[in-house]
Amino acid sequence: MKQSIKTAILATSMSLAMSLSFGTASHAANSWGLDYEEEREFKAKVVDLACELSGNCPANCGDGQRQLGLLTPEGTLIPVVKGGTLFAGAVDELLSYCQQQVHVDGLYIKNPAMHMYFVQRIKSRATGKWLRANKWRKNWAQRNPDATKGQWFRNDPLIKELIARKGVLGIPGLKVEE
Amino acid sequence: MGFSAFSSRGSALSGLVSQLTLKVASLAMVAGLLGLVGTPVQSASAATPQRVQITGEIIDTWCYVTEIMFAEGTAHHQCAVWCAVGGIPVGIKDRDGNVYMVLKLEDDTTNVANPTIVTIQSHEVTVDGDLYERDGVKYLFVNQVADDKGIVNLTHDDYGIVPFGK
Repeated sequence: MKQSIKTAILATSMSLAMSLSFGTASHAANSWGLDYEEEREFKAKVVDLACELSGNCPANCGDGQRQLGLLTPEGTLIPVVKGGTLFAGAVDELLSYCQQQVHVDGLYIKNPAMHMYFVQRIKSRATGKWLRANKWRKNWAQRNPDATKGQWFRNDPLIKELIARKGVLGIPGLKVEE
Repeated sequence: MGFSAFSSRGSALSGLVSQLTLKVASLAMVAGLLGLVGTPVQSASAATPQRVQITGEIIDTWCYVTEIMFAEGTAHHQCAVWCAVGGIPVGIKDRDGNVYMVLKLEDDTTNVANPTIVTIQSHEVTVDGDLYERDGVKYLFVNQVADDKGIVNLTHDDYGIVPFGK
């Protein structure tokens, strides 16, 4: 019950956040009301997480195939796990700033289980203005010109193939009882 | 005279070539040291990892860590696939509640919508790997998937399909 209410509240927050604040030029992070959430705007360098940790460093931060993070001037490494598109990460948002200093705005979630950042807006020296972190959906549309418009996650060819093969619950033949 | 002049020019040319070769070699060394000329950038802060074996469920880090919804087992499988394909980092949650963010899977050093890990969302796995802990995050480089039990966490009877119910 508690979980259902929380999900409903968050679904509303997600819709409002996407429809209202991402359409404005404001650069105050949009709260999602998450536990351990802090609205945080700061400057940091965009890095390839695996490179930063292990020293295995392909060119251009892995060209979109590596998870990215932010390295603050104090040396704190923060994984950026989420961008402005629902159910999508942040690599498309940050890749063009590989190894560059950027100014980010978003939510820093400092859950003891794992710290992470949800980037909502980015300002770089090159642009000089805040840009919404919403490239992923546009890039997906370019990669999938034949997919239907609407919710990307309902129309992505790979997702449709996986769900058709294994079912919504991940086990072929298993269904939710009515 | 002609020969001598040619010889002299030849020596000058030879010297110039030698100087240029040295300069090119020096520049190449400097460029190499700076990590230029297509050479991958080296991280200055690479640390020594801890060798570990982890058993747990493959999860999507965003939904699980933020507690934005119930994010375990069959109930959340579809959403876990959405998030993995969407490029949200995949993790492993062990029985003690520790969350490990997966940055490598066996020989594949790509970790965004990794084709293998996308297909094993919600599975219970045992993996051997290298663990780096830094700034509140456990990063796991999986060297080998030692066991894959498939999906064993049947949560849909209690939670239905999360989110949206379908």
